[in-house]
Amino acid sequence: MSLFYLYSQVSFWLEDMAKRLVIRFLVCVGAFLALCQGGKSLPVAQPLAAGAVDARQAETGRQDAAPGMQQEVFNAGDMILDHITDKHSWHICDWKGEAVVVHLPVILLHEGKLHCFSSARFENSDHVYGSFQLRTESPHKGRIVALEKGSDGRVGIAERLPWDFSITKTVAAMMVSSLFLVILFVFIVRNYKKRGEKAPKGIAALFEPVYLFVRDEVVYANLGKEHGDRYLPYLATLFFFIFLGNFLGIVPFFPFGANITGNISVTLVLALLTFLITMGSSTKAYWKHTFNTPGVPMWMKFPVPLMPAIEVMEIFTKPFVLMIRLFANMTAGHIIILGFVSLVLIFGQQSVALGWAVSPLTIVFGLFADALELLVSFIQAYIFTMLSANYFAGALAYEPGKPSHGH
Amino acid sequence: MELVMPGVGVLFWTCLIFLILFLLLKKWAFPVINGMIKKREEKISSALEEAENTRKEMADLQARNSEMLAEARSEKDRIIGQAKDFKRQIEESSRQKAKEEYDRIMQSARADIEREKQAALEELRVSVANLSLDMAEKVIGSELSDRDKQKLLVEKGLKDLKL
Repeated sequence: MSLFYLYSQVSFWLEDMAKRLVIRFLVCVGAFLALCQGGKSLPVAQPLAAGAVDARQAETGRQDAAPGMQQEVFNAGDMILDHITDKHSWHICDWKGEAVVVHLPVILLHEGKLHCFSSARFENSDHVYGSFQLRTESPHKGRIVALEKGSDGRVGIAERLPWDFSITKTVAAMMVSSLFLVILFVFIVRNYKKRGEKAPKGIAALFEPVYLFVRDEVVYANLGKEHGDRYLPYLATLFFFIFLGNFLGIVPFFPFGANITGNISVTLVLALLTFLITMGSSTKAYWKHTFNTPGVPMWMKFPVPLMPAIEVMEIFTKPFVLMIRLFANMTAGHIIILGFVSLVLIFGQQSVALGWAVSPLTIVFGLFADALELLVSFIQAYIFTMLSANYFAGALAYEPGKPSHGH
Repeated sequence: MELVMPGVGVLFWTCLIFLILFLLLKKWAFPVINGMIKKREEKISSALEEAENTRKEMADLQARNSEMLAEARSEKDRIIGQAKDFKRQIEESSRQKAKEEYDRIMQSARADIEREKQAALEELRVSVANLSLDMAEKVIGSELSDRDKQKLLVEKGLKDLKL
């Protein structure tokens, strides 16, 4: 009896819900249509009346893109590339037709002299300040070049590029991320000091499982306890640096959102450090394994040193792949997210209604891509650290209990 | 191409930032964290060990207790058995003693009776002899000359008579 009562109640409730959902959906659609009617006043990219636009014009327009210049063709490729490459200024958003930009310091070393100035100095039509020019076009695009008078009297690009030590967007974001990390660690360490041997609480409780994962599953699993303790500071720093760089890279507002670990220079430095530490901790057994690999037939080594050549190549390909993997993964992630965001603008160009129609899809896909990136940011940090630990173990010719020798 | 060309500035700053971060964390953060975690791990493992030891001790104690209990029980059984045996012995011996006493008393009683009987018989014999002599005297009417000789004769006759 009571079961039947429950069932009838539930079915009534479901019916009610369904009705409400239908009504809500209809309201939403109505509102959507109403918005589309009034959408002409919305600051969304407008469909272009004139067809042909010079590609170069589109490009120069992109540099100081502002909704004021609405007669621009939206080029998703350019927009995405603009977002993921390094910049000398940090574009935050557009506000009332004005681009809100943080001008970062430019530091140049040219012909023995140090030049420091704000990147705001380049905000003129030629992007020229003094004898320097921020290139927006093809030769040295995105870089700062020195200008000099050629033999024919015309101003041209000097052969020698200035050393560019500017605090670019990537560097600034990296500083923010590192500062964030340091502050995080200050809190964590304080928490540990305060709580002593008791279980951690708050931020330290959040941090500890991750740290223990890195310590036990990455460092100790590859290097054992004895070696592991020596490499733990580097590997843990590496992990948290990469993880936070990845993670803050997908936070889409100002002091974050820069493509830190998707910058090849950053990953190059990290891979280089791993490479140098690998070389520094290499043992006799490692070099013996490299040049005279045990278990390989003699004919592969002796007249033609095929196997040693491969092994020597592997020494360099390992960190190279490390560099490429992190760079490519993070850049690809940013491209995917930006691609989904661009979808709405691309369709909006066709018609505003279409743009609105696509936006839920964009949100769903974008959310999915963001969630995926969250996972990837952890996985890539894990893989980089894991492989670094593995290479160190190979260099030490250390074999943990398992027969998983680094190959 | 711009995307995959390393820039010297970013390289430099990344090196600097990463190394500063590394040194900061290595100097200030990780020793504290590692120390605390290690201390806690040690504490936990020692606590676990202690718990295990206590458990073992408890089990030992319990085993000893039950052993002692069993011992006490067997001791009790033994004592009770002994007591029973003792009781039986006492019973036996007292019964024996009683029987002996009874026998002894019976014997002495019998001996007394016998003695009394003998005495009575003797007395009877004497008095019968005297009586018979008196009667014979009376019968014969005269006193027998040798009374003592007669007496002996009667007594002899009486002895032969065997009552």
